[in-house]
Amino acid sequence: MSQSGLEVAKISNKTVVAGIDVGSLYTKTVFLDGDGNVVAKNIIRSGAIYQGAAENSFAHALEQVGLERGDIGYTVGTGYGRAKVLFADKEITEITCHGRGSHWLFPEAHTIIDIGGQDTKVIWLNAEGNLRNFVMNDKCAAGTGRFLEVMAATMGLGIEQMGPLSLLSKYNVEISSLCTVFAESEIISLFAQSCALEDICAGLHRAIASRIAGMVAQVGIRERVVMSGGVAQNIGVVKTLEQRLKTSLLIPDEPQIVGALGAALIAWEISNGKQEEIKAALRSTVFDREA
Amino acid sequence: MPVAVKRPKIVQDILGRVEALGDDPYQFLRDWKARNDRKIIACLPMHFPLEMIHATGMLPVEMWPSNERITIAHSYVHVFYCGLSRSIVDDALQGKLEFLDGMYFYDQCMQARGLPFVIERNTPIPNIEFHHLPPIISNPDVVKPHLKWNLEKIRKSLERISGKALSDDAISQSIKIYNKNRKLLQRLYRTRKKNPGLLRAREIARIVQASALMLKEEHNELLEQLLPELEKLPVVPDNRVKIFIVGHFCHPPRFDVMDMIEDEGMVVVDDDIYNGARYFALSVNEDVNPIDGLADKFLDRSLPCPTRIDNEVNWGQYVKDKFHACGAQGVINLLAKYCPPHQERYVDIKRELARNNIPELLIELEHEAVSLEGLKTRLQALREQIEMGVK
Repeated sequence: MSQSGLEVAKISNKTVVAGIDVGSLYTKTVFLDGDGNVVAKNIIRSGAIYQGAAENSFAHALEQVGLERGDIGYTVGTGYGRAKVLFADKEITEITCHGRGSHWLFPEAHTIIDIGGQDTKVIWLNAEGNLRNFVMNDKCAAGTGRFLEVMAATMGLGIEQMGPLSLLSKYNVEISSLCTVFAESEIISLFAQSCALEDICAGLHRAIASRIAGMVAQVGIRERVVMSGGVAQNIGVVKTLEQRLKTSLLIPDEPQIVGALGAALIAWEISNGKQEEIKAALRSTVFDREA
Repeated sequence: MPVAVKRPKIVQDILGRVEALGDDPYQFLRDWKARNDRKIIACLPMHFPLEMIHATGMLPVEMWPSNERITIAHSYVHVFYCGLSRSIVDDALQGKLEFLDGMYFYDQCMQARGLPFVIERNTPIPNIEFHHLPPIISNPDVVKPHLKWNLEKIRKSLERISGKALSDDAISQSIKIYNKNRKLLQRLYRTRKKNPGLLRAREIARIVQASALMLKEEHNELLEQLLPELEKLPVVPDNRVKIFIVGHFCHPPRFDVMDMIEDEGMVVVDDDIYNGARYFALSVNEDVNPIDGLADKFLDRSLPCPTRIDNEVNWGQYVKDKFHACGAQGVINLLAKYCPPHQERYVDIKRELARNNIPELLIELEHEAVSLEGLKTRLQALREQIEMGVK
């Protein structure tokens, strides 16, 4: 496992652009200056009002760099609540944005596994970091961040405790379902059998890894592999997935912010005319708010 | 997203009629029966020789899925049957199909084989029959005599239900009417291909669906009114991403999903779905004995169908050729959940499209609710992939 981080630099060029990722659980904002340096970033809870979360996250980032809203040259909204970033110039899916953000952090990456609050995606990138193919869970949030939150609450643990605790596991416990309701019932049954929490946590992580491995098989695994999204902060899931996929994963320092970073990078490319073809291609779509 | 072309009232009226018909076939068919005092026979879609039913004066209709949740059918058939199978049983058990004078089933797939027995035991619908139409067509010369023997059995059954003899001449006459319908629908598709913004994918599918539910003469009349009006309309440049839809056998895909494809900035330029181009792709030869003509159409291998086993078919090549012919930029594969024939063939299609760097998205559709928000993201991502010209 290797890591790469997002150091915040001072603004060297005032043409600042923004990427805002309104996820089902967290909203993330990244600002880039004209030289492509990250100059602001934050993560806040999305809550129930996505529009408000986007506004708040954006306002925090403005505060960090001491700029006004009008100073931001271009904004791309992404994530589950991307349509609620009403001040964005453009919407781009989190699939494209996670790909772009991951490629910027790890240019050698070709496969991205993103496990967010409600969705899981496996993305195949070409050498330029563009989307080549993808799969996404299409039925429910089984095995995602929300699933782990519910399981942690059932066990009386903090979500951040699950990963380290699972590494202490000594006995295999099988969790057969990733359905949140059924898995919760299974855990309660395991309590009755006096199973240790670390073994239950490890069992849950194996169940998630098994599901992800199935999705990876649909797209095909191409080295190297990045894991993004909040669940990448769970060392237990990461280790189990590495064993299952027989590869070491590249983990960003702040895996939650990769989608917002990708959105900011696309905003930067459009704003700076570095990739005219992207601007031209995306200008025609029904989502373009420039028109 | 509305169509770019302003359409005259007559076009709007016809589209409104077929939309209403597809939305509530039950009322339409009850009214038709009362008005015409003729019998109605429902058949499993795709391969039943509807011309033979039509030739008796009865109305053949192809079975359709309801718009409602499955209720009591789950006590009779498995929940892992396809939506159409479960819906047919549910409608029958709820008494929604009691206006029918018969139901014809055949060995379309494993699930379809059991349906007539459930319906026969549990409903008062008369003339529930199962007919054998060979599911393996790899060697047409060997299969054809057996198929013709079964078509003659269908003739006898129809004579019994209708109470009159069914002559070859009558079947030939019906074949002509059905072939005319196929030609008119082919013309509709040519018009759409030239001017993709003319009609929405939903509207095209509703027009084809209406053909499966209406008397063919009435549908021909409808198309003869519609087509000249559509052909008069100006060609409007359409810069949306061009999509080729494949899959979804037996019944129309969910209309909300078809709408979403176009609402997400794409336009369907052609398709290979049953309630689409597959419905009218093959005509019956009018120059031979009608039973031979119907058998030859059934055994025609140029339109491969996953429910008719033909080991020599290269599905991937077939879809790739169709994709290139229509000038699309991406493929959306619509898979009816629990459709084993399609699932089996999907692998070949997926492999060939991937080998040729053709962007493709698989959407599994259920009779029950689909997660539309997640689907929206996947459709947008496909559009972004195509727009950025990624290979």
